[in-house]
Amino acid sequence: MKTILVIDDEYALVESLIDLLEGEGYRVVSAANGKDGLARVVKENPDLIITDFMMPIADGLELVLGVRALPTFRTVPVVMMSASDMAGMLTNRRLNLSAFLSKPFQADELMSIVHKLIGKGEARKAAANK
Amino acid sequence: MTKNESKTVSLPRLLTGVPGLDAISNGGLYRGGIYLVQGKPGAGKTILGNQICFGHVASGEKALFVTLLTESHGRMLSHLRCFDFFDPKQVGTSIKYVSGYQILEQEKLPGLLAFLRTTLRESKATLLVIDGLITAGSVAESDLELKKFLHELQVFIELLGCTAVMFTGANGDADQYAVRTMVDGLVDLTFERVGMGIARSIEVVKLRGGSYLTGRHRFEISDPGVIVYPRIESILGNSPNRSTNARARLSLGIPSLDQMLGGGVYPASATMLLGSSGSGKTIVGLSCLAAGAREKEPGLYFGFSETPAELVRNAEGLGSALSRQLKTKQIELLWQPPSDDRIPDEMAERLIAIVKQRGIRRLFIDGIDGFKHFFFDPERTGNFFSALCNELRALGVATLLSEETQDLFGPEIRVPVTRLATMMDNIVLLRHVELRARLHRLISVMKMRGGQTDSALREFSIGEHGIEISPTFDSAEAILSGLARLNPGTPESTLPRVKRGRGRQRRLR
Repeated sequence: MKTILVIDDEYALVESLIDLLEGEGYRVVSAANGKDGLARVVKENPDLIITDFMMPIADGLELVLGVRALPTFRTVPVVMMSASDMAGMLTNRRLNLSAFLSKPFQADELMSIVHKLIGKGEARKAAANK
Repeated sequence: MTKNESKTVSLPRLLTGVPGLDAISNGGLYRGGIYLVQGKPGAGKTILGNQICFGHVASGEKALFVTLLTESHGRMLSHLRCFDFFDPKQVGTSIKYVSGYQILEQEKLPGLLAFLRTTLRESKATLLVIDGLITAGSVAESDLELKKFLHELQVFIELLGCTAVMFTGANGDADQYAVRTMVDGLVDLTFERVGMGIARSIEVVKLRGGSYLTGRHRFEISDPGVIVYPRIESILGNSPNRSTNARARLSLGIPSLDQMLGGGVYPASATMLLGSSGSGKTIVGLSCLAAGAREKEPGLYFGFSETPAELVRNAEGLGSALSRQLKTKQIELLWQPPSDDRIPDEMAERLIAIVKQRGIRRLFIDGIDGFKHFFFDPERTGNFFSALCNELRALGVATLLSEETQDLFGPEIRVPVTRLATMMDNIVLLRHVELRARLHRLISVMKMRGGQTDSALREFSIGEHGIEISPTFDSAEAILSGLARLNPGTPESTLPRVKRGRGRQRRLR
């Protein structure tokens, strides 16, 4: 089962994303800031990282810089989310992001990006095979 | 890298489909938002919630209706069958009805949240209605827990592009404060007794993201369901565009009165016919409509007391032309039967619609009192008529409104509606005067905006040709007080003759 790491300090959004992504057949782990997120990257070896930009302790920019500094994770796809359009411009220049999601976004937009980056989840594959 | 398109300032809206409701919110609810509708039992919450659902699915979307310890679904649906919006084909297909009470009872708010998430995801509903939110509040151990539930629900439904409308029985109670602070919009439904009837009203108290028509607006529940009538002063009469053809004058069909008015009234104007009962207001108004009909100008009579049949019968005594115009509908008749549940805004809305639809050029509202009777807040009467008259002016309509003075005789003339006299372009006063134990009718022009008038008081009579106005009435002293009597010691032979002499204008107060 593919693993997705969701990093956001908005717990309600994290809970919702976990619910949605698990419902789509992915294993989901989470963290509430960039520092904890980086530790989870090393521990969980995710197939995809979905992270917020503005977070306490370490923001999304620091997180992705840290991830890209680790040779194992230089190519892991990262989706950045933010309510600030400026975040997209800032991060795109330096971080080799896979996608940027402007908040608020809808689940369909996210799922479309996730499917494109890592394929569909197992539950859906199984359902489709039937 | 891909990037979802930058969000524009205006968020997408969800139209409720409830007549008038989207006008109050200036375009509907915001998609992805969470809204609370509160009201006492009997306020119409369940009907409104279902009506929004049926309206939503009619456009091809899906809705989820969740009940929390309210009436059973079977019973609720059987009650809804009498409404026009109810479509049995949508039940169980586009609208899914589920009860969340059992899971709420067993697993409290976290269980309910998980249940809602799963059910919403599976149903692909873009509208969630929760009926009986007060039950969820009662199982919460703290305000914080309830707020957390709402916040998590809010975030989830936004992700799904789903809009939530929650209904609760509470109405301004302190224990609902937590909920009210969390939601994107708050709507109050109230009802109160007015006379022997019920006046229902709706008020948007809060709406994040946009402006709305503040204050209370009346609504009714009838066969079509809930129909909201925005206060007309909040939506009409704001246009500065008016017909200003100063040269054009419209005849009122009474040559002497036209002369007193300097040639008639302006096409886009409001004229008050002020007088006591039986003083001839209706006849002057009908004369105006008849004169318009002769010029092929569509006219409308809007009245509250006489039925169309009675009006046609009474018109027969005033000349065959008028009677024929009424019978052949050259002059349209619109009668408002007496009822305690009338909504002035509904009547005004209907009136404006007919004026636009039929191209009405002359309108006679016979009895302002007919409107006033239905205001449960008399303070807004002035604003109401101001908006109505402004809108009619903007439509180029010459409007006559009759207003009944309370006193048959007396030194004072009172206009019952505050500010009404100031917003009129013209005021024609019709009075009774007693002289030698006989009633006389007097007419005078008390106000004419933008024109010279003959302010003299004249006597008039009503005959088979309608109104006939005599030359200037030469009265005794105090005749304008309506108390014309002989001065003590005045020899009867020295009294002025009734149809000579000159009156003076009395100031309105």
